[in-house]
Formats: sequence, structure tokens, C-alpha cells
Amino acid sequence: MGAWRKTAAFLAVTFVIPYLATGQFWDGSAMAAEIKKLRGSKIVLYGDPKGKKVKTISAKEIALPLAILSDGAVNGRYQVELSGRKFWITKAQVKETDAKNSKITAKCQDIAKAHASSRGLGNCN
Amino acid sequence: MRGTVAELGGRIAMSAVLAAVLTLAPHGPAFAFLDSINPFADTKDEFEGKFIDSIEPGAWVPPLERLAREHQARSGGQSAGAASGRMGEDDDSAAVPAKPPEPAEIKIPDGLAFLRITQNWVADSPVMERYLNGIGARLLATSPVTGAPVRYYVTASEDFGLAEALPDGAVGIPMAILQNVGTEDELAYILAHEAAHVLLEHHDNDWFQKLNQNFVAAAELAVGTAAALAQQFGDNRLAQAALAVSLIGEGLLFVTDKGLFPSFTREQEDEADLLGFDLTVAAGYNSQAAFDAMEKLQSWQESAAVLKAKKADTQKAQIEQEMGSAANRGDFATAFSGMVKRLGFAADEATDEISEGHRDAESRTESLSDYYFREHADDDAAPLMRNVELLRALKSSEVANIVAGYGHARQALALLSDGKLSEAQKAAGQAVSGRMKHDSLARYAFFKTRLTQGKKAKAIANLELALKGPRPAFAIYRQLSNLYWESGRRAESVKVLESAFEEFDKPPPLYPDIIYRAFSLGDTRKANMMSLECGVKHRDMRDLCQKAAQGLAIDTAQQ
Repeated sequence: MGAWRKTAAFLAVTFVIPYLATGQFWDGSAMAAEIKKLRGSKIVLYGDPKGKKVKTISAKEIALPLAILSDGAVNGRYQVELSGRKFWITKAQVKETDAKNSKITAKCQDIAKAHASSRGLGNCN
Repeated sequence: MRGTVAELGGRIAMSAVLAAVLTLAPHGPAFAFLDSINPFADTKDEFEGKFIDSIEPGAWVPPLERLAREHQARSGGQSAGAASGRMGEDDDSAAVPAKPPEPAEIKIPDGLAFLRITQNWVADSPVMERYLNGIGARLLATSPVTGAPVRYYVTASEDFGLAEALPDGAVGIPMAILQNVGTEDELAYILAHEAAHVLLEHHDNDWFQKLNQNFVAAAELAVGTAAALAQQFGDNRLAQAALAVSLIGEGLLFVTDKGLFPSFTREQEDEADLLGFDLTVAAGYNSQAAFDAMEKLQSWQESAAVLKAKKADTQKAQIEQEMGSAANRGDFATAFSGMVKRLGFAADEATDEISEGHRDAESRTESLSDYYFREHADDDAAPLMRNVELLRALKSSEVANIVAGYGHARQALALLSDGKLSEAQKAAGQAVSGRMKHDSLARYAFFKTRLTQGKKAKAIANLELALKGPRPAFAIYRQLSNLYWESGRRAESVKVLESAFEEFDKPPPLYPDIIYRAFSLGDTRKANMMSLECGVKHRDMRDLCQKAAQGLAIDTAQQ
């Protein structure tokens, strides 16, 4: 029994925890199957989810919608196939996917009128 | 009066000429000024390279202190220059040091106290604060501006978009953000955005706006005084002059409040987006998480816009109904006043777009995307996004206790609105468990439940327990003071109110309450003095203060 526990702990430390820590399991975005709109006239292509850029192409060269090969976004990038080669595109350049993002609801309560200066992320008024 | 109108016309013409000069000037400060107030200008287009590199390195200067130093340099420039040897060694003035700024002139409001007013519920969560401030330290270590006292607090807010940075470096992070971000990288971007406001000293120009408001308030009071003098002495020149100043001031205030300052604020938001992005990348976080945060902000903003539209429709319908019934009963004064209100509403809606302090999230995302493409697309490698520490903090028993407590408190308040008293009592009881024993929101829910049950003594006991907590909310003081007053415990009511007045640094909403109590206790001198101070310092509270000084009770505690 002790050996099983040790083996389980070893496997967890060796594989599961590093996998979770990479964020490849969790990057906070909903699963998307295809890219519907891109941002910018030029699109930067990367070779893997964390590597440097491979090349830049005109957005016109990309036919939309574009199927996403990866399981949603991995490390903030989507894997796609262009002219038979696989690349990764950053979220920065993806304007819209088919993912059903969870709605963030506003309540706009509990707020007293501000009488001194503050700077927020957004506002309710 | 004709002279006054002519003078006003002259000033308008001068303003038009100034505007034309600013418009025609192709470069230089005027151009920069125009960019800063142009709602369509994009800050990222106003500089080359990374935004972080456009910031002059140096020590952080608290708000107002820079202005005080500049003022000191101007007024005492000769002696300061002589002291540094620039004016010649024989100059006697070299021996006279420049006058240091008075502490009162550079007083910064306490940020945590401010959060306890605007958002009321600030959590007591050492675990989450330690975690947030750890991320903050990592971000600030990369900033060219050093020594900024940025520190993060968690508020109970359910609104993703209501993170707030205060002038003294305090930053309120809503619980809704912590519960909705997926990675530490995403959270880091939001923390960096708020820290950027502090680092860039964005709060400085707010004092100019406040001074402008005070100027108009003083001018309006002067009109009243001058009119009284004119009536007494039969000379209306003073009244005319005061009226002219007041009219010009009103015009300026409209321009600054509705146009200039929201534009400055929009530019500041763009700057905070850019510096936040650079700090996030420099601190080793994944830049793409900023786009996750912006996507969520956009979703929240769309929901907030729906709420706002609903609220506006209700208010408009109410005003129109009041106007109709006033006209039907022949009360044309009230009907006219309603018409003015309705027109004011229309004017507010018309200026909404230019008076909005933030560009919409999609437009901000477009800018960030362009900026990423321009400055960061060639970065070496994308760090791996992480969420382990975030989940650890959220799952700690302390934070879990707070989240559950807030959930029960909200549930109790919702059940109360549905008239389900016994269920509300059960939820309120669960809200105050563990470390939430003295929590303001939890106790507030219990207080409301007891009040609805007609158990005033128990309602008071709940507020008293909340006051013993580490960060009692502003609303708690006001409710307790009101309940004491209603229960005939007048001395205690005044004591609670005055302690809040001191602790929260004379917050405007308390003026009417204090004035009313002073009047009711026969201290009319204090009531009048406070009313005058309120009118000058807080123009928007003036009517309420004046009514309170006439003995009219005002329910300003609407929490």
C-alpha cells in the first residue's frame, strides 16, 4: 500500500503538477473550434505555443473561418494549419472565435457616488 | 447688465480664437493637448517604441507634491537657484531657504478609507492580500518609476470592471475579478493596469477639477451675497459682476466636467493599458492574458450598459409621469421643473459619448493588439501561463470562508427583498460564521434582516459588531447613527457620526447628517457654518446641506 502511495506521489510530482503548472490545462479561455475574425492587416505566425515568431503574412492570405487544431487556446495561442503547415496565432490577433464565452454580469450596486479621484478598469455610470 | 453680456461675449470670442490657434498649430504642446482631448485619438500612436521606455525613470512623487514643488520652484526660484550657486555667490538671498510646502496643501486622501466609502465592503484577507501584493512587487520591480506605495485590497464587489486605484497607491480589486480570471497572468495584467495609474500620477489633475468646482461654488455663493447687498444698498454692479463670474465658471465647469476631464481620463486609461501591458511582459507574465482580461471586461461592460439603459428608461418615465400629473392639477411650476430635469437628461445622454471616461473594451483591445504587433510580436518566448498559486489562494480556508460569507450575505439580502424572512435569517446567520464575525457586509445583511423583523435592538447589535471589525464600512457608521437617532440615543448617534467624519476625512455625504443633527440639538451656529463649508467644498451637496440646516431630515443613507 505504501509503495502504491509512493508511486502515485511520484507520478503526481513528475507529470501531473508540472502539467497543471504550465497552464496548458488551464488558460482561462473557453474552447474554440474555429477562428471567425482576425485583427490587423498582418498576422504573426509562431512555431509552437511558447516559441518565437516564424513569419508574418498578410491577413488576406488567410481564408476564414479557420479551423483551430489545438484544444482551445494553449498558452494564449491557437494552432492552425496554413498551406499544409501548422502554426500558432496569438489571441492578440484573433478578434472572434466560435467559442461561447461565459458572460460576466454587471450588478452595479454597492457603489456610492465618488467624491474623490479614483481610476478604475471600467465604470458603471 | 449689457456690459456683463458684452464681457461674456468677448470671453467666448477669445476662447474661440484660442481654440482656432490650438487647432491650427501642427506640432508642439498645443498638438499634444488636442490629442489628449480628442476622443478619437489613440495614445499608442503618439510615441515610438515601447511605452515603458517613454517614461522618465525616477522616484515616485505623491499627487500634489509635484505641483507644490513646481509652485515652490516658481515662487522661491530665486533663492533656490541661488542656493544651488546659479545666481552668483554674493547674492544674500542664497541664505534664505525656499518655503517648504504646507502639509495641508499636499494631503492625500487615505485610499483604504476611500474604498470603504465607495465600495463599502473591503475584505480582511491577509492570504489574498499577500498573494496580490506579491504579484504587485514583481510588476513594480520592472517599473522605471520607483518607490510607488502600491498595495492591493480585496473588495466584496460583484463587478468585474470596478477595480479602483486611489491617489495614495491603494488599489481595490473586486472579488469578482479573482473569481473570474483563469490565470495569474490575467490577474497580473489587471493589477498592472491599476498600478500604472499610480505610477503615472494620473490623479494629479483631479485636484484642478476640484478647485474649478470650488471656484464655481464660491462664485455662486457670491451671487447670492451680492444680490442681497444690492437689495440693501440699491447698487447692483456687484451682483452683475458676481453673476458674470458665476456664468463663466458654470461654462468652464461644463467643459471640464463633460469634455476635458473625461478626455484626459480616457487618455489615462489608454496609458494604463499600455504601461500595464509592458509591466506584465517585463515581469515575465504571458502577454496574451491581457486579451483574456479585456474580453471579460467587454462582456461586463455590455451587461453594465444594459443596466444603465434600463435605469435611465425608468427615471425618464418617472419624470414624465410626474410632469403629466403636475400639469393636470395645474401645478405648472412643478411641471416646468420636471421639463427642465427631462431636458437635462437629454443633454446628459447627448454628451454621454464624449463624457465617458473609458473607451469601450473592444476599441481598447484593438489598440492593445496593434501595440502587441508593433512592439512585442518579436519577443523571445512566451512564458507559460500559470494558475497554481491563484487557485491555492482562492482555495485557502480563509478566502473560502470570506467567499462563502459574502455569498450568504448577498443571498440573505435577496431573500429579504422577496419577503422570505426566515430563510433570510438563516442565510444571514451563516454569513457571520468564522472570520466573518465582524465583517461589515455579513453584519449588514444580518442588521437588515433584524430590522425587517422589527427587532431594532438586535439590528443595532449587528452594526455595533461590524464596527469592531478591522475595516468597518462607511454605510455601517451611517446606519448605526440613524438607528441610534431614531431610538432616542442622540448623543451616541452624534458620536458615531463624528467619529466617521474624522476617520473618513470629512466625506461629503456626511455633511447633511451632521448639519441636521446640529440643528435639531439647537446648535444652529454649527449647522450654518457646516452648511456654508459644504456649499463651497461640495457644490453637488449644497442643496441637501441647506435643507438640513433648515431642519429638514434627509435620508442620505440609502445603503
